[in-house]
Amino acid sequence: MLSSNKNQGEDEVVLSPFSDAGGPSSRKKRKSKRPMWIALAVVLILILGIGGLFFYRVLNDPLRTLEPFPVGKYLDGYKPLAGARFRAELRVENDLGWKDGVGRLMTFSLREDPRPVAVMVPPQLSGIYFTKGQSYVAELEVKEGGLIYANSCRKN
Amino acid sequence: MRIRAAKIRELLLGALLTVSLGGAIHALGQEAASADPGSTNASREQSSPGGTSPGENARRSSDHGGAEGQPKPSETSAALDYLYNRKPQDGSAGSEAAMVGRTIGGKAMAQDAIGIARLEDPELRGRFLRYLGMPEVSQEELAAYFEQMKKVSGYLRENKLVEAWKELHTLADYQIIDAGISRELANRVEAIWNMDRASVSLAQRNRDLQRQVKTTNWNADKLSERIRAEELAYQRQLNQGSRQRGQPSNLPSGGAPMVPDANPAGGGGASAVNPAGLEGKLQLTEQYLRSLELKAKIKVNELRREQLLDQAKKDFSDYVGTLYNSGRLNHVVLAGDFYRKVFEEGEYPAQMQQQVNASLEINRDVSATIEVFRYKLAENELVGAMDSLQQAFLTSELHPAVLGLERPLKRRIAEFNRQLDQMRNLIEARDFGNLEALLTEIRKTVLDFDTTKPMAIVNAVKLESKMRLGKAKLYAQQGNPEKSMEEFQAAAQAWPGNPDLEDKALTFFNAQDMQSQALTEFDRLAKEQNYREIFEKQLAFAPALRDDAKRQELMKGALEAIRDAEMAAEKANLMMINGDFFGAWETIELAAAKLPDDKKLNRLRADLSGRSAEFVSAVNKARDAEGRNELGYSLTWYVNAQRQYPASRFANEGIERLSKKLLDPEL
Repeated sequence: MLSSNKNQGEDEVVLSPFSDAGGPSSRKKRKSKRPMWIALAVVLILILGIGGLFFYRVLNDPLRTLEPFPVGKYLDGYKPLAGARFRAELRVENDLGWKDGVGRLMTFSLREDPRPVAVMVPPQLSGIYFTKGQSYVAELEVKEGGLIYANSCRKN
Repeated sequence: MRIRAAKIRELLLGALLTVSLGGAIHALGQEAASADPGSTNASREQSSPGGTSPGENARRSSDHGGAEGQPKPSETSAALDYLYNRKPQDGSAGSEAAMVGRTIGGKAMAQDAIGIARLEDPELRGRFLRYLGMPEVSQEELAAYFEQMKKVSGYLRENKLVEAWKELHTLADYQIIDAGISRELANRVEAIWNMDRASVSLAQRNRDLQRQVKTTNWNADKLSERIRAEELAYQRQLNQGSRQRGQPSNLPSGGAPMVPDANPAGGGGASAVNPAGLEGKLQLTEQYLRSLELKAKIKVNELRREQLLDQAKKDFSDYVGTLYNSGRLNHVVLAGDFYRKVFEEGEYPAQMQQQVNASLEINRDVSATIEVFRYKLAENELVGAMDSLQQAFLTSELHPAVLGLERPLKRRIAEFNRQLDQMRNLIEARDFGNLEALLTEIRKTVLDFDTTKPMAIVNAVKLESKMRLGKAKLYAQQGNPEKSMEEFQAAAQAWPGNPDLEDKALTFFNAQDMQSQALTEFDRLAKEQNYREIFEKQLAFAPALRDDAKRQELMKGALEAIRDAEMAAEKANLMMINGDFFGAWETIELAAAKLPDDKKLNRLRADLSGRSAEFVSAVNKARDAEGRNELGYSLTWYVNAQRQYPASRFANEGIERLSKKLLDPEL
């Protein structure tokens, strides 16, 4: 449409009814530049705040120093991983069952590897309500028999 | 209790044997009575000479042939029924008795089937067969012999006893016809004459004795006269003396005959003994006793003469009886004539009279019987002809009609007799195939031979054999080899030549062999758990396992396993067609758990494992880890397997199982 209008304009000039809409901009140009600076400052403050918060959180994250859970290595053989702790971003796949005092047995898939793993969520974390598809960050520990325990878990 | 049971068993066995043997003896007795007319010959010799004639005996023997008797029912019939209905063990007394019974039964059946009265006594039968094979005596010779016999009779009628006696020696020269009997008759006559000489000698002695008696009597008379004279003289002297003395005298009494008292008035007085008179009285007594002795001797000699004559008559009568009993009928008549002439009697003794008359009658009968024989032979009625000839032979084998029978005629009878023997042997041997052919052959040549009975027996036995074979087959099909074998044996005993017997027996034994082999193979395959092989050979195994519950159970298990495997294979194939290789593998894997060595399943499993390697690997790793009790690790692999194949039975069951274990370690 615009191109057709453009072609037609070469023969005769057609003016839009909103052709005089550029009036206010000419009026803004006349306003002061202070609010702009205020906005910039706010943004900057926000950025700094957020960045600071981010760094604060990063620096205060207990899983920060843990290695990501190597699903491939685990599936090849759990014994080298036995006793080690890992960090993992988990996505809820299935709930296999719960027993009071024992915990909840779940299957999660990791972000790095879609192959699911069975994880025992201990009773102290049983307050978490897992629903399929939710993501969690957890500290995982491979225990005897290759069973993975989630020592800690928080919603991602 | 055990002793009592053994005793009862013994008693029952004894009763069985008694009845079996009794029946056998009864059957044999019947058989002998019906088919052994010659046996009456022996009894004829034992019976009184005039009691029965040869003709009567022959008729009686043939009458006995038709008589039938039934053994009386025994009180132990129930026990015997029990014993008879149970097969005795091989080698036992019962088995032996049964075998003897079968043999006797076979003979009785053969005799019953032939239905012709034949000579069964071996001696008589041998004589008859020898007669059938002998050439006939020429008619010229027979005519000459009987001409000579007539000549003897003629001499006797003319009272020319010596000439007749001489001619007997001439008759004896016809050895084949006469067999020396005439010479023996001549010897008998000569013996009577010799006896007569002894009688004459006795008569001569009696005459001498008579003379001696007369001499003795004369001597006694003379002595008596002399003594009387002496007595009288002596009495006279005594009388004179007593008168002189006035005393009476007493006469002596010495036991010798007394001379009558010359002076009876003077009796009662004592007389003196005269010594010379006494001596004379003793001599007189001796003469008297001598006379008595001689008379006694004469009487004894007379008695001896009478005894000799009676003995001679009796001996001659006995000899005539012997001739009669041995069938020498012409000699009986001749001997009767000699009797009358030798003993100078007008009539025969009553017994001899009967024998002579019977001989004449039998001679006529034999001639008539031979005529009947010739007629029946000409009409090809060999049964009747043989019967007539046997009767004539047994009655008087030396009759001229019997002796002069032409050899070719006898040969036909001999041939028929041979066929009957063959028939009998075939029936006893139960060779009914050849028997039928023989019966057909006999029926063509012998018009009066009734084949109804032998054919009925043949057909009955054949039917029995076939029915028993059928029963044997049924038992074999029902998997009862013992009963089947019993029926086979019974069928073979009934008709050993049954052509079906060999085929059926071979089939039976092959089946038995195959059954045995099938059982062995089945056991081996069951031990190896090679259910696929059992499944493929189930049709061969099924008959062998008919009554074997244990093996049937094994077979059922094997067939169910293979049926499940086949269904799993079919299901896997369908899944493969639909691209569900994981499901197909899992189906085969589940079936293979029950049949780990099944080749078909293993082949499918190997194929599907390649196509579902990742899933199979996950399941296997999960299983291995579970086996090592690495429950968490195993669960992760099951979860991975489930991710690949959510419907996986292995994965789902594994997850459920391990979850429970992990959540409840006490389980």
